[in-house]
This record gives sequence, C-alpha cells and structure tokens, in this order.
Amino acid sequence: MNYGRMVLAGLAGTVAYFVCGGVISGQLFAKEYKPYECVYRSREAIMTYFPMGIAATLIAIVILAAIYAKGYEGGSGALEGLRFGALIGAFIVFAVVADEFVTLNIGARLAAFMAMGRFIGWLVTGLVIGLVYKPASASPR
Amino acid sequence: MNYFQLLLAAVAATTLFFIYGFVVHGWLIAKDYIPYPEGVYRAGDAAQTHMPFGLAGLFVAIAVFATIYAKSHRTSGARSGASLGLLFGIFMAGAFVAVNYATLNISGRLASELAVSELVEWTLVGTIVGLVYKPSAVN
Repeated sequence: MNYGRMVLAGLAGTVAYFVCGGVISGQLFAKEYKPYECVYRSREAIMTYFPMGIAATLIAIVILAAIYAKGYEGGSGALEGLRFGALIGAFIVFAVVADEFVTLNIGARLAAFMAMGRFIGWLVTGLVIGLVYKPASASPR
Repeated sequence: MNYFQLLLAAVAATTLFFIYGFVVHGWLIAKDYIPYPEGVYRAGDAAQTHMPFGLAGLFVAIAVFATIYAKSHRTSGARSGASLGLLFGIFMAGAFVAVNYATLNISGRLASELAVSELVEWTLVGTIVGLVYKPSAVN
C-alpha cells in the first residue's frame, strides 16, 4: 500500500466531500432543512462544532482511502474510484439515511433529498480518491 | 465472487446487528436518548412504524459491506473481516456520528456512546461476514 498517496487521496477526498456538501446541502437543499429547526442545531451553533466535524471527516475519508487501496484491482483510477464511491454512497444511504429516517423527527421528503445529496457526495469523493491514489509500484520513484 | 455466500453473510451479520442494537440502544444506553423529548428523536410508536425502512436499509448496507469485503479479500476469516469492520467503524464514527454531533441537538455524552457503539457493531459485523463468507474456489 502506498501510504503517502493514501493520505493525499484522503485529503483530496475530504476537500471534494466538503465542496459537494456545501453546494448540495448548504445551497441546493438548504430550504428543505428549515421545517426541522428543533432537530438540527442553528447555523451559528453548527459553526462552533465545525472544526471538530472537519477533523473527524478527514480521518473518516483517510480510512476510506485505506479501504479503497486495499481493494484496488488495477486499471483506470477514475473508474475504480467511481465504482468504490457508488458502493460507499449506497452504503451510506442505506445504513445512515434510512436509520436517520427511522429515528429522527424528519419527513420523507428531507430523507429523500439527503439520500440523493449524500449519494452524490460519496460518489464524487470515491472518484477523487480513485484519481489521486496510485499503488506503490505505479508511483514515480 | 460467491453471491450465495455473500447473501448468507449479509443475513447472518444483519441478525447480529439487530441483536446488538436491541441490547445496546434499546437497553444499555436507552436512558441517554430520554433528554431529547423536544423533537430530535421520534417517539417509540412513530419509530416503530418507520422501522421496516431501517430493517431493509440495514440489510442492503450490510450486503454492500460484504461486497466490499469479498472484492478486497482473497482469503476469508474472522480476523480479516474484523479488520475491515473496524475500519468501517472508524469511518462511521467520523463521517456519521461526529457530523451528527455537530449538526443535531444532542449531547457529547450520547455522541460518545454512539461513536463507541459504531466501532463495536461494525467490527462484529465484519467478524461475522469474515466467518460466513467463503470465496468461490479458484479454477
């Protein structure tokens, strides 16, 4: 496993994830969260927790890059990354969004938007990890 | 990839996940959900009516986990399953619990318990998948 590339892929994946999150949840679907102010923290409160959220997400995506590196079978990094991103996107939609729909006081419409947004976010993250990660034998010496 | 074994592994791991969830979330840390009656979590009956979505969703998620395991491990066993499960547990604690702590109106105590729970439950899921899944014989 190429550890340098793995960390780099994790960093690039984190940037991609937050860009997607900012555009999708922060802009496109932002109004869908409005009816659930008792469930979610206010924008100001979220900002105070933001550094912790960024650090935790970075660690999570470096781990994701490690899982990708372990299963990398060679071939096009973009295609492998897209496949991996689609699997992780599906995993998150079914493990996280379905769970949140059961336990949180949110409506089906918001859950559907969250599922769509998170699937796209993880798909793009997987693509970026695939583009950046190169196995040890393929990287320049 | 051995699809029948994959399905079997997903069924076994989903069963374990629900037993674990019932013991931990429904009993051990159940009282830590109580301070949130203002509307963060659904009340018991409302959660029960939504439960089929959770059951179906979790089964599909574990099947995806088993697929990633089958794709990335040529040999199987409890140890290799547990190591992938632990990685998924860390991923879920960071990408799901920590982000929920930042965005949901919940306490640090409940978030910490949920993070530890993710580590344990996905390690258990991985162990079961590793034990049950057997790759197809190589021609």
